[in-house]
Amino acid sequence: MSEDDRKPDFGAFDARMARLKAAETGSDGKAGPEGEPKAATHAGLHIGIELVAGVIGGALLGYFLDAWLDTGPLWLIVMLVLGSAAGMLNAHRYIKRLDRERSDKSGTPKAG
Amino acid sequence: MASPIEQFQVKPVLPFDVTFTNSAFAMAVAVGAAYLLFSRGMRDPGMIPSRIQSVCEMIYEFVRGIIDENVGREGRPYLPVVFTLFLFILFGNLLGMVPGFFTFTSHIIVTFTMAVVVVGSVTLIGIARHGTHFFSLFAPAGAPKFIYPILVPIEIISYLIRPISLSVRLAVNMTAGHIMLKSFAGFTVAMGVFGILPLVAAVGLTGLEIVIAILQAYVFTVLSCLYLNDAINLH
Repeated sequence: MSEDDRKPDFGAFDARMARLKAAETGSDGKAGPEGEPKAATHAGLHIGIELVAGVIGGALLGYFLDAWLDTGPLWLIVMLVLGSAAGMLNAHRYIKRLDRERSDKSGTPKAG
Repeated sequence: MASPIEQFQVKPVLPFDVTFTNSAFAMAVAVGAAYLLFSRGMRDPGMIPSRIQSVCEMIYEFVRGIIDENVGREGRPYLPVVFTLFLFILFGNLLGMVPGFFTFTSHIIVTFTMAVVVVGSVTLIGIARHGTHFFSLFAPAGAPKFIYPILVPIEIISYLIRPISLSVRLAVNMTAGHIMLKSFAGFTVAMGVFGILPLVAAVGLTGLEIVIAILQAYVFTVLSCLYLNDAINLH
């Protein structure tokens, strides 16, 4: 490749880069046009798994406690409820962290 | 007396099965590939890095950045283990994108073992650093005393389910993505001429899957660092 046919390439690249940069900062100054929904899918999946993991973890813990202590369904019920609560606690913490990261990035702290 | 030729009989020495499976093979390849990349990249390091050296340095600085951002400088001593974890998962995920190759990170037992090792060692680090004061993690400051009987068990369970959510997240993401890819590839064969449509979708999905492979390795590493941060700085 000679020098001559590289120059117009770079010019076109610069123009494209400038256009993309403008499009990027134009919408909300954060992610590109498709970056936002992908991050939202990721966050949703994260929260969903957190909630389900709480229920599963609590149920398993209760089941094995019952099998060990031979106490019927007592611990299963108790741990299922506490596990669901723990899952929600973890999900809540994740959302809080997400909120903090978002306000850190955009520079405008949110209330709450 | 035993037969004189009995000593030549082949029999298992271990009481359990240790077959070398395709999963174990994939892990060995992942470790080998990571070793090869870094031993080649850092063989002859220069001030002006070669391409492969700058890849190694970028990965290293990326992981160090994760630790600095989420744990702080006190997390630096744990860089080797976090770095190994990240590389192992990253190579497992990316090698899984090679057609026909086994994706060991899609198995919950593999990810669960890693998550249990992470959470377990983080707990030990926390206890070693803070002694019994570590357990104040389970009693959030500022809560009124009378709700402790409910709050403390919930906190303990939310700590115990960390390995579950950590491992399920990685395994589910890898499994779902690969099932989707396989389904679209199946449609391509089944639909004949119109198979061009799922083929296009499969090409797009392959790109998405590579992104998810890297992203999930990153997420696993970040969450491990957050747990480490909890143990070192106690919130």
